[in-house]
Amino acid sequence: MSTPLIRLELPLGELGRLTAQPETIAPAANTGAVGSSGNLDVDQRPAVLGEPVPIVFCRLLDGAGGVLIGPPATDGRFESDSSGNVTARYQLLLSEGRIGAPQARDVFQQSCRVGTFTMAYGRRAGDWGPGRVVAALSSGGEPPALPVFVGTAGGNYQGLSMGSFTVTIPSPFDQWRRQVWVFVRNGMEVYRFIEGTVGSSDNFVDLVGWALQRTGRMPPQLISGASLLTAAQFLDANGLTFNGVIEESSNLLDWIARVAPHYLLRFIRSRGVYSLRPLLPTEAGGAISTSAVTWSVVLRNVDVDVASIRLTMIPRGDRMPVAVVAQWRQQPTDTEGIPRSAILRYGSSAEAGPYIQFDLSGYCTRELHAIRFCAYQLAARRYITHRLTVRVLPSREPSGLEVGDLIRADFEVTAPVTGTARIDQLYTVEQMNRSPGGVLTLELLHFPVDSQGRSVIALDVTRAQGTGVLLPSGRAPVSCDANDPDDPSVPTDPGPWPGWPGPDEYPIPTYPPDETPPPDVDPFEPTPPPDIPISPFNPDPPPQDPDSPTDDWGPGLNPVPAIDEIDPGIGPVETPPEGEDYIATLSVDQLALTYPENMTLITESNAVGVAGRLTVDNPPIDTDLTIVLSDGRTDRLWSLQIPAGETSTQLPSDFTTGSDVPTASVIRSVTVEQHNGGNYQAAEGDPVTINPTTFTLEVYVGTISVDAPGRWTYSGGWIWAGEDVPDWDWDDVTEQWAFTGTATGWTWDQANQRWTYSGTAPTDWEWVVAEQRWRRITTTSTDWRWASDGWVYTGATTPPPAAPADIEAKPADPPEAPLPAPTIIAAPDPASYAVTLRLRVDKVPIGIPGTDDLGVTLEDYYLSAGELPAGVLPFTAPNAIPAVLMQFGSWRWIPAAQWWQHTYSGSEWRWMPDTATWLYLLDPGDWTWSQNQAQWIGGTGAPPSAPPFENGTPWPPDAERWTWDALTAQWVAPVSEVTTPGGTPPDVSGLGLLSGIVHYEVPYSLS
Amino acid sequence: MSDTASAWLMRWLRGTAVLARYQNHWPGRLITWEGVSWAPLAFAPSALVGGDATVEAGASVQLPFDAISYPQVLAAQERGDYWELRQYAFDPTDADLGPPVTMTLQGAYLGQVVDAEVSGLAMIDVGLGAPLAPAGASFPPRTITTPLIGVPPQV
Repeated sequence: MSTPLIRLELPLGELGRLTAQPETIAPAANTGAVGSSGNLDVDQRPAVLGEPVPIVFCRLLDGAGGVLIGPPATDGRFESDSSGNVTARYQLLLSEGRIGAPQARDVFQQSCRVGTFTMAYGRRAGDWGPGRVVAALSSGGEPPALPVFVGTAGGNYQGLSMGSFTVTIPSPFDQWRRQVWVFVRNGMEVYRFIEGTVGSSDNFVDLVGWALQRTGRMPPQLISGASLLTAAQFLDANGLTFNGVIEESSNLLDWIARVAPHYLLRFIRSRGVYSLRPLLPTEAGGAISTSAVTWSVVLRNVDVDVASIRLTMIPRGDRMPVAVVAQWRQQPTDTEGIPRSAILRYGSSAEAGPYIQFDLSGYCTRELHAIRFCAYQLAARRYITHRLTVRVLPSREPSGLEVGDLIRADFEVTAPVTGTARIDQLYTVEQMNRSPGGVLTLELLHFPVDSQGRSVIALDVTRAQGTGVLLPSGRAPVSCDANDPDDPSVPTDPGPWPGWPGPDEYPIPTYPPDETPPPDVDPFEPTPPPDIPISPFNPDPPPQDPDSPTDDWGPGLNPVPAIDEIDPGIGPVETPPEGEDYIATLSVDQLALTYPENMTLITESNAVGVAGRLTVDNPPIDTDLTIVLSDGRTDRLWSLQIPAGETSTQLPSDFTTGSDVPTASVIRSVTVEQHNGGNYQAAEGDPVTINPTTFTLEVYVGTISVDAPGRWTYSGGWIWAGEDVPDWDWDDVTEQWAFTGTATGWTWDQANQRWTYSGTAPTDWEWVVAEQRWRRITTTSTDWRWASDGWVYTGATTPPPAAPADIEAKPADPPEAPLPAPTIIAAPDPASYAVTLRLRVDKVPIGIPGTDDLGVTLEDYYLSAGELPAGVLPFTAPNAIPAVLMQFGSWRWIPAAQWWQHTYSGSEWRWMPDTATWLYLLDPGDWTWSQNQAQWIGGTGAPPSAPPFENGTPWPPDAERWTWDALTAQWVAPVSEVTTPGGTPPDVSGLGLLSGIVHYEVPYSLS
Repeated sequence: MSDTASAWLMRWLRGTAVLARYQNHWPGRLITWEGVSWAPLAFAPSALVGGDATVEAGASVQLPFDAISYPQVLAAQERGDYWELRQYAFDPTDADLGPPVTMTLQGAYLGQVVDAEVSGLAMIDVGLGAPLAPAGASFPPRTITTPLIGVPPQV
């Protein structure tokens, strides 16, 4: 069965020998009308209703490719003359779409170049119509038997490449019945991803792109054009071509998924979008990469649920040595394809089989293509040892991870006795499952690399080379050609036949037959009336109007929400006090607003008139103006917005929604900043002094600006906002970590963010820079080698001898680099990223002793997009001075408890703050302490000691419980429960002011 | 981020317009997110799957069967609108009232309503994906018909 024709020994590599083995002639699978091992001497086949319209997809390049097809006849015309000679004409269905017109030398009947052939697209070819004409023989006798059912010309031939073949065969031969064969050099024209033009192609990806779009059911949004381009470049760079005919019906997705691996591609669906990705690492131009690979993510123990890690070894039976056989097709230009077998095995392994066969002959016309496919199959079996499943912790999930990405898993566990066991490999993300709870589970496939971080599969695939030998077709020389075998001319089609009514006469009927426009009202359009019962899942949503979408997730396209809409769900919607109309008149330079006199203006502006009237000079013309009022309650505020550019505004009576605490402070802080006159402008790093409290304004590395109304953008770098990392510094400019510590023998490669080893080279180990780990490099046996994570036996002895013992202990690892930057997303492009500004204020009292008890407060204020004008970074402190500032001598005001506390720590007295009295703790004898007189009374002898006196009294100063009203910015004396009456508001002057830092936190979001 | 919460959000897209929003973390509450105030509708997501393209039903969601969701499902399937699922992670500390400023997009899925089933007049199970049902995904796409080529011969 096997006849050695070729034997090729490939160069030896550390990964073993890849050997193209003797080729065997094996029958190829019937893959349709590609002429692979077909029989040319058959009758012309008619078209069959219901069968698929064939797709001829090929391109003859560099002497390889093209397809020999045997097109079906859709009708014919047959005439015999008085001599019995027969002239036969066939209308042939060549292909879906437009193909390149065949040359005169490319048309055969049986195996002879005879007759004439022309091609047309979208109509009948030739200038004849179907029919049957039989002339009586001049010699008498029976005329030739011509077909009776010749077909009709009743088609529209839309989108089809049709051929007209005419031949006259002298009596008594009947070769006119034989099948017409056409060698197609340039198949169906499609969009070519690489060139960006339409034309014939042999790129499988072009065919997939055409097919996905042609179904009409695959929206473009669900096809990744970028991945298709990358895949097309991969095929083009590595000589993986498609030259075949598809005429057997399949499910499109199944077909792509089945054929894609033959092109070393993987058909995946990620985030709902279909794409093709190479199975091997690639260079920029698409060539298979044999350089060290890089990975995007490293998963360590802290990143995953360790209990979820499942490592499943590939069954040994699936990794045993085999010989892989791929059937391909050597395609001559003058006859059917020659079936070829590419056989590959490692060295002398599996010489007696087993064989794993793949049939690529339907479209593979290059030996190297078949060889590389075989090499991939062999290498994958040999080197891929296991799969890994792991559940990623939600807080540690890497962003942007996609199916097909390369990641590194570095897991380890240390036991007291046995030491550390470690899994440290590269993997391809095969599947990503996300649970309803958002937990991501990854299914990973081992991605083996060598000591230099190169894909060993890619190395073997690129090392595999074909023989380059083209076999003779075995076709005996024939002398039946009536046409010149070297005639490259393309005959012009004279048609169409005048009797053909044309495509419009045979339209495909549509339903409904009349073209009544659809009703205006779409019965499927949801138009819920305003009073429809709301789902219990949505207790308080406003009515939805699906036809009036006005916003999007991109902040730049959205209306700026009113700040008073932040949380209406907390309490009932408030209505403003009755009895007044709220009229705002806005002119170019002044805005005047009348509001109820029982309300207090909270908004700070550059000009405030008498109570009940607000005047704003030079109001902003490009931003909305927000006014905030108080009706005296501390738990709510009123706000109204005047749209920018309004010159006369009738404010609605329900212009605002207040809310209960705690959102009042948020409203207050935001709205103040709307006023032109009250804004504070600051450049980067400028300190800003804001009365009554001093703040330091600190802007991070970047700048914040407004590039469009209602849209904030952030440009600049990212800083490390976490805690200090020992020995490491974050470089704000390069946005990378820099090592500042000492690590003997190690050098930190700042540019590549990895360690290089500069110490004394160990004998048995080498530092793999790409993988950032040690790898064993020497062995004591020629039959043992150190693979990615252990010894692998490559000898022939069964059972294998014991593995070599470790000669040298594994060197120590370098210091572990800290985690990546606070955000691994690079500095955003201002044009594509929009942000919402968040002010975080650390308020630290200064000038006050014992600030630990006074507390450091942290408040957040959110400024929605568009609330601040361009180039202005205003900030006004909230009108709040905490009462914690009150401290007099040994007395300290405790705001949370609303009482004075004394710092006395002696053992005789205790200050009872809740009753504002002193309690004597020792035996006073017959003495009694008089609270009113502040002295001992009634006893004999020396009285006990008195409690601490300050300013002549043991009582707190001004012990009225004053509170600071943040809304009115003044001290308020509530109903007193204390013993000491009267007093004046505490004087906080001279006690110091607040200082603080304003942090601008700029989260990113895709616009 | 000391702790992590997860929120699913879904948008009903027609072209570039957003016809409705759903989410499962702050249902029934008017929230402000990325500069937009909206009242999300409730839904329950299923798993997102990314992998081999032949793995169908990559995502599905459950909606309440009510006067809002049911017509929306019908309309979306009839018109071939897109539904986009997104899963975000965030620090729940400041997220009681609505989405926090910082949310990390962790998973996404874009698809059309390919099938839907109402069960018990209570829930609608909606499958999202590409409408490549076997009958609609034949390849090659066209078959030989008489309008196309007339009546074929019998040679």
